[in-house]
Amino acid sequence: LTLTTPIIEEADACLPGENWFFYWKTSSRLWREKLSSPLLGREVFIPLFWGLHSETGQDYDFGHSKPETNLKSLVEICKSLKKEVIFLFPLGPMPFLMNGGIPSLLARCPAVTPSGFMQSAINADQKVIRMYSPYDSRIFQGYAQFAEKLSSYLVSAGISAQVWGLSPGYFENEEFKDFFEDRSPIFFQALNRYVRKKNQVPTENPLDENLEDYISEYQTLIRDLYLNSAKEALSTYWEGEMPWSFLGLGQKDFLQSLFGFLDEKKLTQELFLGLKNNVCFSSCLLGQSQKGKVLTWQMNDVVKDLLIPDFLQHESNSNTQVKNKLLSFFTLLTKPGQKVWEDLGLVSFLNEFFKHTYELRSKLDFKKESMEDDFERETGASYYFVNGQDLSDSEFSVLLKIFMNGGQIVLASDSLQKKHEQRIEAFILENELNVETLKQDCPIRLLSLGDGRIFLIDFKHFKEEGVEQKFKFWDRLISTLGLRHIMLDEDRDIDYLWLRREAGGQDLSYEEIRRLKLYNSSSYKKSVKIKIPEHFVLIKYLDSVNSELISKQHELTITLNPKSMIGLDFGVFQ
Amino acid sequence: MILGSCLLLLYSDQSEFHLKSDSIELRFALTDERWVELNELKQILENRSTTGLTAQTFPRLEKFEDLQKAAFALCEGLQKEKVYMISLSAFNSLIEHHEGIEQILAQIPSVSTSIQNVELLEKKKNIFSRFLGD
Repeated sequence: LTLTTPIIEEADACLPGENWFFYWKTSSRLWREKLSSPLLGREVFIPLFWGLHSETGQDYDFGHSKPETNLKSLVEICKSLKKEVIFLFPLGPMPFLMNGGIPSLLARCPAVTPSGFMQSAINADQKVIRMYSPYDSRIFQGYAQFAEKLSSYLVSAGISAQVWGLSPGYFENEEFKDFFEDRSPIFFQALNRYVRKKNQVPTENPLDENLEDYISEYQTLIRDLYLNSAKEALSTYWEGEMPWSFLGLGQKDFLQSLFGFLDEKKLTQELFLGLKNNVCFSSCLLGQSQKGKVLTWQMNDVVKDLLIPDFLQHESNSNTQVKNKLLSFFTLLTKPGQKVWEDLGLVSFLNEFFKHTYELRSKLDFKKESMEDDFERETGASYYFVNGQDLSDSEFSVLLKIFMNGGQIVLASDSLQKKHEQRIEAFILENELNVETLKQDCPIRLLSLGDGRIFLIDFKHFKEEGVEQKFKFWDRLISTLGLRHIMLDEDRDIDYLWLRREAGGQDLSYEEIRRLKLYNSSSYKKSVKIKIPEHFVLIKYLDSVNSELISKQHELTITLNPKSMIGLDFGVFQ
Repeated sequence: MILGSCLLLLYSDQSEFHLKSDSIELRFALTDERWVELNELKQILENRSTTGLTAQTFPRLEKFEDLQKAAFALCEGLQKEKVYMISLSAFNSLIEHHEGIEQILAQIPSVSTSIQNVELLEKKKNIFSRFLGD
């Protein structure tokens, strides 16, 4: 006897902890029951499945024929359950949907990675999902039409919900990649047409010297074309776009999944990369058996408690307790593809002494950087390291505002554009700034205004210095910032996360509370030693699973058994 | 695991990746148990000078025979019973035409070139025979 009816489990339609609801995975009659699940939070992310609403890319169904396509009914159920709907509109192939989510009639030209591998994924049901080239003009035309039709439907049905653009991708070699990095024949045909139109040499020989520049330019152009067509069509509902990394996606993960040994350690490292790069995560491609214990804890701590509330820009538990935020001392501004801070040895230095306490950003956004949050301002939360190359005028203005608000900035003066150099000189004169000149390994000019400081550093000859010299320089510079931090003597296999929160009423007179979460995803016993510096005191330990803590005066020894975790709360005082 | 104790090598050749000469390039390697980084493969080849290959240009190889030589050496070095060499275009075709991962794995032997590590198989056979008292 064979049971042929597929069993729909709770986890099939809902993604616990990540607040996702897959409306096509269950009958519309079961939506209410599934959405009532206590596993789903107050906000529900609903990814939109283009191929479900249209098989041809021409005719659309929003509940006229198939009840599972009735988004109005879905939104009403959510509202009656006091849940907020957040639609996720695709900004590229969705790796968890058949054919990447596009209508089956448009699935004609497979996408290919730069290494020649067909863009594909293995989903939680162990089925292969193939992705199709976004450079196929038929797909783009259909896509623009889908955005229009959806917008008209949302308006006519009187649906009020947020729409976010989801830019799907994955981490490879520590960089976020999306499906616009396509090297399929249709991509090269389109690229050729583009280059010809620009009156340049046609790229008949793909090994042309300028090929990489054209590719990068054309990718950006088409990526923006998709984004703008969605943004314009859905402008009434559009909230913004967000890169979303899918664990288990990518060539290496595909091959590992095929052979049945997806590497949990690699997946957990990707989570930390996401934190650093401000990228959200989903584990929807992973089957229950592939989500190891440690990865599940980390998804909870990183995605549910940090990334999603940050993404929604509200405090998920604001009424009950003070919220933990990621401890981030440094923000490194670098444009995609640039490795400036890596070349200057700063990234290696931070990985050694301030691991997981810095962020990489590709642009400065004043809304985010304005330090409106009093707590951040008081604690001087972030130090900005800015490379002047490709810095836009608005970003440059943001920098000056951060400085005037008491922010600390390290600015690579050798990379500054002439106009920005002139603006700085004018700014010094206008504000009669105090300028100190320091001679370290490279020339430094220090501008001060109130609490704000700008270190203008000429790194021209610094890149050629040895690693040791670079470490010494960063050590000297960062020690002048007066940061208070606990260093760990940890095994390389241990993952950890630093969080901070404002001290609450019951927290005595601490300035702030720092939380350290330690995870051991390996199959070996590991230990971590912590020397507690001045101004810190251990308050409590929490979330201890399979771990032991020995506390001596000014020193902690933590034993982490295989697949274990522990949290430690430290009070920081003056 | 359908393929048993094995090493899988994925390579691209001129027709697939616009390589200048007739050369082929090893792209990915994994065994039935783990991922193998190219540096590790290079190290194995350096330790086995009998292949006559220069590890300097690796993972780029001049001709298919060189890939076969390297594959055999790697199969021995990693103590695997079999090595499958599959081109990226053949692998992509498998992905394009099959949905289930078991179907893909089952098709690998028919679209790849394989070499058996006879010595290892014999050794295992002998141990097995001794155990059974033949």
